Amino acid sequence: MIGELLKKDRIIYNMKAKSKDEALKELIEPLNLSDERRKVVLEALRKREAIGSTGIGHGIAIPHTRSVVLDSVALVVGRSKEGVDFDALDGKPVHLFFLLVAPPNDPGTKYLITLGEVARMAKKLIEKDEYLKTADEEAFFKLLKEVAGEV
Amino acid sequence: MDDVIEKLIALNDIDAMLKDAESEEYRSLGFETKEECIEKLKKMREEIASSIPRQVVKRYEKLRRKYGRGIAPVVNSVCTNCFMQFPTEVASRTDKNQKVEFCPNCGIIIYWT
Ligand SMILES: [Zn+2]
Repeated sequence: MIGELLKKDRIIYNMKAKSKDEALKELIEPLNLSDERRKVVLEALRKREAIGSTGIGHGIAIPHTRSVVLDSVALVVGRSKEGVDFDALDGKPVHLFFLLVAPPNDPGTKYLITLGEVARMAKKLIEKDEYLKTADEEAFFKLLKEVAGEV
Repeated sequence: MDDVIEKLIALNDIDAMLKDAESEEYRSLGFETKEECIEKLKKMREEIASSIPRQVVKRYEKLRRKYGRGIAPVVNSVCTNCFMQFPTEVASRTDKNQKVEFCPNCGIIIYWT
């Protein structure tokens, strides 16, 4: 499942965002939503962050939400060399983002299962400690694919 | 997009979030959810609900009890709540999401994606 969601055009190799809100805005860009829908999704993501940061520590954040305006599950991966202050649990800047969005009534709990896979994938990437050291976008994508195959 | 539809979407998105935040499965993933912030979100939900015409909110709540949600997206001309296919002449209308509409089959409030 998670491997299928990894797409080259949904990867931001060098994020420009400096703040939490900028990061959320930048991460939803590759979804190519209309202005109307982008606004709704951004608002839902902000509300989710308001109940507790999705910055799980070790430089990783997994912003996520379901929304009525979405027609399919989508994953966007963002990498920030400088790091973004995302109110992470350990207070450290976030360098790797996994944005997961889904329609509200995604059959059963597929969304939660996928979210679990994303979290496992994130933890594996921390263990490997290579995600900031990849030579280029291609190598980064390859690393993501490789780790996705392990979860 | 119609203002009421926009509010119903916000309501449904918050309801889905609250439902997740309170589920065991979600909690086991280890995301931080602060009780006091969840309470704040619930208050925000009530504020949004109170700004929607009462009859519409009543219908939304009734649908939520029945289906677990009050509004559903129509994806590729199919209602994602009951999987009924909308006829082409309806699906190709240009005035979609301009007023609150219901699925003629299951009755849920619909959002055209
Ligand atoms: Zn229906």
